[in-house]
Amino acid sequence: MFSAVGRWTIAGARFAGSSTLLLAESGSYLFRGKLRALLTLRHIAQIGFDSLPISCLTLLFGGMVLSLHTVKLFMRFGASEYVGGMVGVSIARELGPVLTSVVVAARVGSAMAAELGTMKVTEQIDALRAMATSPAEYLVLPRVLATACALPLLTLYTEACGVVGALAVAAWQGVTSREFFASMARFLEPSDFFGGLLKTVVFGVIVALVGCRQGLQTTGGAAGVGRATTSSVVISISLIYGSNYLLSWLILTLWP
Amino acid sequence: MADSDTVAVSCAAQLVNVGWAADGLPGQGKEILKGVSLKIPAGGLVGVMGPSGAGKTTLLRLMAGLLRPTRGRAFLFGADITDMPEAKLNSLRRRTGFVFQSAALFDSMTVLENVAFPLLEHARLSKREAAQKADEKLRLVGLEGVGHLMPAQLSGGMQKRVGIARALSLDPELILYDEPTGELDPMAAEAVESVIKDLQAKMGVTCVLVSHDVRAVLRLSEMAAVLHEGQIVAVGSPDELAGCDHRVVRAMLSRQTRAV
Repeated sequence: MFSAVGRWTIAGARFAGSSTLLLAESGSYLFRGKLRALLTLRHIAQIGFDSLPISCLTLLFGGMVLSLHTVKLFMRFGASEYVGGMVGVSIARELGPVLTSVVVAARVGSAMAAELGTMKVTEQIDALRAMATSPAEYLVLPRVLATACALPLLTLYTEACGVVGALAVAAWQGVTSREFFASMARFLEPSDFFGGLLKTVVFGVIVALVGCRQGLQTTGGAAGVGRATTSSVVISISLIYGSNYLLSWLILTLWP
Repeated sequence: MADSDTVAVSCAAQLVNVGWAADGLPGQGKEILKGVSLKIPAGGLVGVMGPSGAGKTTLLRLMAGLLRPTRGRAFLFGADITDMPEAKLNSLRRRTGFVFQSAALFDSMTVLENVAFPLLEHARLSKREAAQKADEKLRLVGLEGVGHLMPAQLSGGMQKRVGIARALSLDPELILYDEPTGELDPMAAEAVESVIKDLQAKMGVTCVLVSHDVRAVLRLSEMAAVLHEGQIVAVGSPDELAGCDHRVVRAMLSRQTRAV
């Protein structure tokens, strides 16, 4: 029992240390003006394009389910004019940022871990270093920046899908679209919206950094790549949930 | 090579009493290299041979600064790289070419893009100029007209030669070959050997060749070292090694003779 706790503590400290060093190293290239703009834009396009369908689908149904429960409950108390506001605030603050980030962690973070892991076990990472190119500059920085930029943009689309899904179900249950949007306008503050997008920037850094870190630490051939891929998803999602609580608390403290 | 523990500025690379352990702890049972000293004179072709697991690849990686010694000192072009920061080490790596055992070509790039990669990164050439120079390097290793192919479309021997062309792209002063003929059929191995020999003769580049293929090392090298269980047990010219009475050297050479 104690040895297991000790192992987990050491593994956690090792993960935190190496991730911080990787972030600091790749960040140092950004401050030295060594940003590969074209490569970063290519990653933004790829992340956005690859994740858009599944993210939109997730939020569409997420919004629909949320609306279904909210309408049923609120109508029981004759409060259908609050449905739009409740659904809108939930999607903007939590559902949109968190669900989109989780989808991107599964879709993009795992792909990063698999790609970099394969490069590691086939000596391509060492080849980069031998050719005097830093993996942190060439591989990590563009991916971290691209994910941090693409995730808020992606969230805009997915939140729109979530609202559409919620509106469709609310209308089917007897809430008019006018009532729905009026409620949203009444309750939804700009801080709800921007606070949510701000969270996705942090989640983007987490997803890409964990994916790259797990990929670069891969050992043990194909099985190692599999382990790196799975662990990148598990760690990213856990960190998204944990940091979401802290960020929500921070945002609510700053903009009560 | 007798005074291999003294640091020579004229050497392309040098290891002085170097040890390396995967867990970073010097002097433990898990040490892969155990106090290795070796000088690579500028302009020469030095071979390092030994059985699998003797620490040959580790030794080569220590010379390129891809691994750092857990004890002893490593020098590249006279500079101590033992604790040198990566950013500073990169300026020395630009003068060095590394041919990996697996070729380590970027599988998302074409052959031409692979060879042009170091040029675009460091030589401040336009894409067109880099492509022209990469084409030249591919011609040099006998690979014309394959620039548009992906690495996966090439045979093992061709991939090795692309790896050599990529290592040559920045006109390095030192090339480190890790098992360049390993896992190749005799024909492909012979083609790679002749490329290495030609390049060294034509360009006068310093070469370090690491291989378990005794025949290839003795045929190509002017000087060879025998590595066994993390230690260098013999150093000398191929003729000197033929007369060496160390049991490991004799065993390696007799196995080789039987194979021929």
